[in-house]
Amino acid sequence: MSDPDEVPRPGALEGQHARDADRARPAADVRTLPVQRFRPGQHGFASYGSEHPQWDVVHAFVRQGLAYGEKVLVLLHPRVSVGELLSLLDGHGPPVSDAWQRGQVVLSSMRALIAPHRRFTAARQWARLREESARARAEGWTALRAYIDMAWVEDLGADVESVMRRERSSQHLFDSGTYSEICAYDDRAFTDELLAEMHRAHPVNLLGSVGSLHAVRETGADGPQLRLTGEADIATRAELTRALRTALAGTAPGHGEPGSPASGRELRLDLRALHFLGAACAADVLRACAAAPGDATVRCTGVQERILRHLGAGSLRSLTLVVEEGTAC
Amino acid sequence: MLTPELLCRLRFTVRDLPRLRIEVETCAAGAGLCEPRRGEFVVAVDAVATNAVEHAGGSGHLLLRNLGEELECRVTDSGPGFSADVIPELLPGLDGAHTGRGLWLARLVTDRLTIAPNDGPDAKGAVVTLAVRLPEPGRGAPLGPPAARTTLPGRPYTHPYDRRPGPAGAPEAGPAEG
Repeated sequence: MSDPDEVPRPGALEGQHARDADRARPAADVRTLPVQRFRPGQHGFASYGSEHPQWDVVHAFVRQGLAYGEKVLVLLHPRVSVGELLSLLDGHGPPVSDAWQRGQVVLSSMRALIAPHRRFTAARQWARLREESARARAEGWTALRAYIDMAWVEDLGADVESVMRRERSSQHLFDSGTYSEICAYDDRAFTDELLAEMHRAHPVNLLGSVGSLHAVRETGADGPQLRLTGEADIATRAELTRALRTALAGTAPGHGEPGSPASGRELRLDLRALHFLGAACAADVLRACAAAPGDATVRCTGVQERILRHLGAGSLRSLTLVVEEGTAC
Repeated sequence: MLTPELLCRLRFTVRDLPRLRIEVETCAAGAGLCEPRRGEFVVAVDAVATNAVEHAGGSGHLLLRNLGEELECRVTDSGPGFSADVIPELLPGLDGAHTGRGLWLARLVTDRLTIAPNDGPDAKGAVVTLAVRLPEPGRGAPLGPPAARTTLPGRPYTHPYDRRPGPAGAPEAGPAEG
C-alpha cells in the first residue's frame, strides 16, 4: 500500500543522491530544463562528470526523439563504438538498433561529419548540420535532434576559442524550429571558466542527470516564488518537502521582509519545468498550499493541473492554478 | 523478445523509476496516446510501481502492451500480496496519515485497474493491471514510418508535442493519413 505521508526510506534517499550527481555544476536557473522537455529549435548545454548520468540523458534524448518522429544524430566520444552505444540504449523498450537500421538514429562522430575535411571551422560544421537537418526533413522526419559530446574538440585538435565563438553565434541553426542540439561537456576535460561561459552562452541548460529535482527560490515581479525543475517522485520527495517548508516559512505573517503583509505573503509555486509530479508529491504541494497563511498560486502544466484537481485542489479556496498552454506535452 | 504488441519489459527498483517513466511515456506516445491522458497514465504507472518499491518487496516487473484498443501495463511485485480493498473509496484527505492515495489516483485516471494474486512461477506477491483506451486509428499521434506522417493538403503539420485530442468525431489537427 502506498503511504504518501511516510518519510522516504533510506534506499530512496540513496537513489536520490545517486541521481543528483550534477549538484556541483552550474546552478539551475530559468533556462534549466530536464532532458525530457527538450524541444525542436532549442540549443542546450549539458555537462557530466561520469558516464552513468550521461548515458541516462542520452537514453532519454534518443527515446524522446524516436517517439516524436524526429531523426536523432548522436555524436559521442570517438572511443565509443556503435555497438557499445546500442547496447547501452537498448534493453527495455522498442530496440534503438531497429531505429538505427532504418536510419532514424545515426551514430557518428564530428570527424565523420565534416569529412573529407579534417579541420574544424564553424562555417563548415554549420553547413553540414544544415544539410543533415534538410535531409532529415526530406526523409519525412519531423525534425533533426543532435546530441554532441564535445570530446570532438580534443579529437580534432580544435581551437577552444573558435569553438566558443561557434557556440555563441549559432542561433541561426535553430530559427526554423526543425533542428535542436545538445552540446555535452565532460567537466573533467574543460576548465571551470569555459564551462561557466558555455553555460551562459546556451539558451537552454539541461539538468545533468535524469530523475533529479532542483528547487530554486527566486524573486519575480510578483514577489518571491519557488520554482521546481526536474522530477518529483519517491526519490526526490524529501527534497521537495524541504523546499516547500522553506517557501512556506517565507510566507508567515511578519516574516521580516520589507513589504511583508501582516496577514502573510502569498505562496507562489512554479511547476512548469517539473517534467514529472507524482501522486504523493502532488499531495505535498496541496498540503503546502493549504497551510499557507494567505493565498497560494501554482503555475503548472495541463497534466499537473488535472492531477492537482483530482487530488482535491478545488477544495482549497485560497489556491489559484494558472495553467500555461503548450507545456502539457 | 519484444513484439509490436509487447512494447516494454523491465525489472525495476527505486533507481529505475525515472527510466521506467521515460519508457512508458515514449511507448505511450508511439502508441498514439495524446496528452493529457498520456501524462496521467505515466503518473498512474509510477504510483503502482512506487507502491511495489515501497510496500511490496522493493522491486517489481513491468510489462507494457499495446492491445489495439487499449494500452495495458502490468506490474508484478514480490511482496506479501494485497487486494483492491486497500484502495480507499473516497479521495483521502490532505490531513493525517492517509494511505492509498497513489492507487486511488491510478484507478481514477485509468479505464481499467485490477489487482490479483501473482499466480506465476514465483507464486508470490500481487499483479496490478491498469489500462487506458487508445484513440481510434488516425486520431492519435501517428509516429511510425515517415509515410504515416504525411501532412494533409492545405493543413499545416502539427508536431506531436503540440497535438491535443480534438472533439469527438473531429479530425485530428495535422497528419491523419498516410
